[in-house]
Amino acid sequence: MSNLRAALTIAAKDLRQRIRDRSFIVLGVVAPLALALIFNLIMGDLDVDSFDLRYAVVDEDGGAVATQLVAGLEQIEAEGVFMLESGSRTDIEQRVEAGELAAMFVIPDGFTEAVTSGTPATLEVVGSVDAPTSTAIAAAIARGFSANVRAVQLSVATAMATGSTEDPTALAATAATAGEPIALGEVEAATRQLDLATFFIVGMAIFFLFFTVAFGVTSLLEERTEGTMARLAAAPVSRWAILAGKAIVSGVLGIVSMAVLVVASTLIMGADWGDPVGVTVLIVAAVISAMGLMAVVAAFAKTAEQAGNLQAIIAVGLGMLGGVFFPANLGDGLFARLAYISPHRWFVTGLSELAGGDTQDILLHAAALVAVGVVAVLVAAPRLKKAVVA
Amino acid sequence: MLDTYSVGVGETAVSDTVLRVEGISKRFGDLQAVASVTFHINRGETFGLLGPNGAGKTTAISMIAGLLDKDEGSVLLEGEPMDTSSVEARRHIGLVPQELAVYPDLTARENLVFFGRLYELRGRELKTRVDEVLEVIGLADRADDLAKEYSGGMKRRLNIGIGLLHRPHLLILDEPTVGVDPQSRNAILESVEQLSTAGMAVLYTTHYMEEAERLCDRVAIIDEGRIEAEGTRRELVQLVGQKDKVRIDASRALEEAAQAALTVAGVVQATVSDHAVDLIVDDAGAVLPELLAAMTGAGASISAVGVVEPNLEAVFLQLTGKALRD
Repeated sequence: MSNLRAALTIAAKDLRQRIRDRSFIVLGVVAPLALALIFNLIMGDLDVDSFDLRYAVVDEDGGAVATQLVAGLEQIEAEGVFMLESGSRTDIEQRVEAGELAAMFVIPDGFTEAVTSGTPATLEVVGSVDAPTSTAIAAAIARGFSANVRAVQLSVATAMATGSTEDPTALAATAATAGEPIALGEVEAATRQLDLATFFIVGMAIFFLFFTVAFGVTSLLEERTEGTMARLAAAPVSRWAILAGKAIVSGVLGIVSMAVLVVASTLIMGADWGDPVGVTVLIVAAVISAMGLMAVVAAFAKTAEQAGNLQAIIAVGLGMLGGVFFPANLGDGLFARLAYISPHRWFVTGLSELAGGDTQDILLHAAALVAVGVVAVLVAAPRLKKAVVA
Repeated sequence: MLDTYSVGVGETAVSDTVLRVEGISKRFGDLQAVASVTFHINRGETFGLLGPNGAGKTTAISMIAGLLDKDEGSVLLEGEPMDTSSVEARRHIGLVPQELAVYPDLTARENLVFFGRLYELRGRELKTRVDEVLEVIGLADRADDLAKEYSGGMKRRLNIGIGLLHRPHLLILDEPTVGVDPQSRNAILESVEQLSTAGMAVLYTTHYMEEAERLCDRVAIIDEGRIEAEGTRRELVQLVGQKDKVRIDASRALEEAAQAALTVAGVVQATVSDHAVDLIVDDAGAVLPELLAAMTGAGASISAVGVVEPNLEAVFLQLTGKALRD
């Protein structure tokens, strides 16, 4: 019997068993999808899209600088960043306290005069205690405006000190409308990172992939402890064919579970995995990586219990390192450098790259995933054949 | 010993010896599990490896089936060398492990089909053979139930059925009746008897003396990895000098009958008790006709004859100094 035929026969038998005992469906599809949904529900409020950016501005000054500030806020509103209302201080304050508005900008009387005369001016931001993040954003906007005012004050002071005879107010208006001396190129973060729903399902998918792929290892050890390995090993098939059969099972289960998760999370959670070709490349590479690491488990574990422990250590350890639970791989510390050995890190960042780029941008990530798998297989290979013993 | 050759179908020379084991040994650390074990099995012969738990039977079988590397020695199966890297030679072996080597999540039919495919049975041949085996092992009416729903005896029968499926030249049964109820046990023993009659060579390991006596044409007594003795049951008994016990129920002239019995060659001892004469003889089968004639001639009226032959357990005790079930 050819090795390939024997391997396929063994794989078909194993797949039938896995589907019949439902463990694959639970670990490969239901668990990652359910956890991603739960995380999304719990953490969903942190999503920028769900912030309550409803602000108001109260202009008690009415001067030129105040008018310019209000115009600036209205321009940001026009760009769709937040909603802006105006009204009396008393009315607006009540609405902020009631939580109807996240924060209010208060331009006090005498603001314009203070700015043009170079004396300290105060721009108040009053925020709702229930919306700290939205209030912080309002405060950041106010600080940005304050920096601009300071620049205008410096310009006017410089002009007057060098003998200018122009009206200071006119000078201030001119300085305020001057263009930025240095234009900063901006890459929108949103184009290089996954939205929250997608991040959670991607993290859970790669995390549980290691458990799904491990079914091949588990089955190998179960055959050993239950005595059927003796029968397989006594049949006219090579030991490599038996191992190949188990590897085929791991690969098929891994790819099927990921494919189901991609489709299900897109339909149920609105996840956006990105370009299908790039996603497919990353999934196949991730499955190869997981199969390699699980081959190490097969080579060194003597019992199903040992294998289960090793699988958990590898899956959880590399998952944490790779930032599937929290972003431990950010920055340039020790953990960030160690994260480069984690397939989870390469998979998640690969999909992030794909979100703002194209398939070519993820080739390095795919190569890194395959490399992890190949190195792991090389480590396991000398002991793998001995794993097929009665 | 020379093999006997005959010309079979297609003019292929076929040896009567299916399995030849020459001096195989295996050591695990300080434990010599198997030491220079040698035996052979002919076609249609059932050969028993009789020994207590831990005697080295399963280790020997593992080396014969190519599951375990030998430290030394050789195994020839149908003339082909057999070791852990042999693939083709395994086609001739049907292994029935001591553990229930069946997949509980598959039905009996699925178990048989899977292993049949590994032995290259296909299509109609596979289906026919699976149906035949299901009939033989008595699971035809439960063929499509999951194996985990079977009783222990049914699982045992399926375990044996898988080993038979591809019509192996050598069937290895490793303690196939351990933990089996008496009814299933009897069914298993009957199946093995039929296989032997059909020409299959059978290697049967057991620590049950009765099974070895019932099934095996020849028996090797193994203990602490060594074969202590090998032969037919009678040869083994004679080897250790065991005698048969004969009780003859009779009336009249018992003393005369006992004296007459002692004149028959092979009769060692004759004792008169109530309405019977108890005798110790070398071989009851050989001396009985002459013995009965002599006692009748002395005037005894014989009503019943009982023979108690020495068993393998007694042989084992004498050879190893311990009971078989230790």
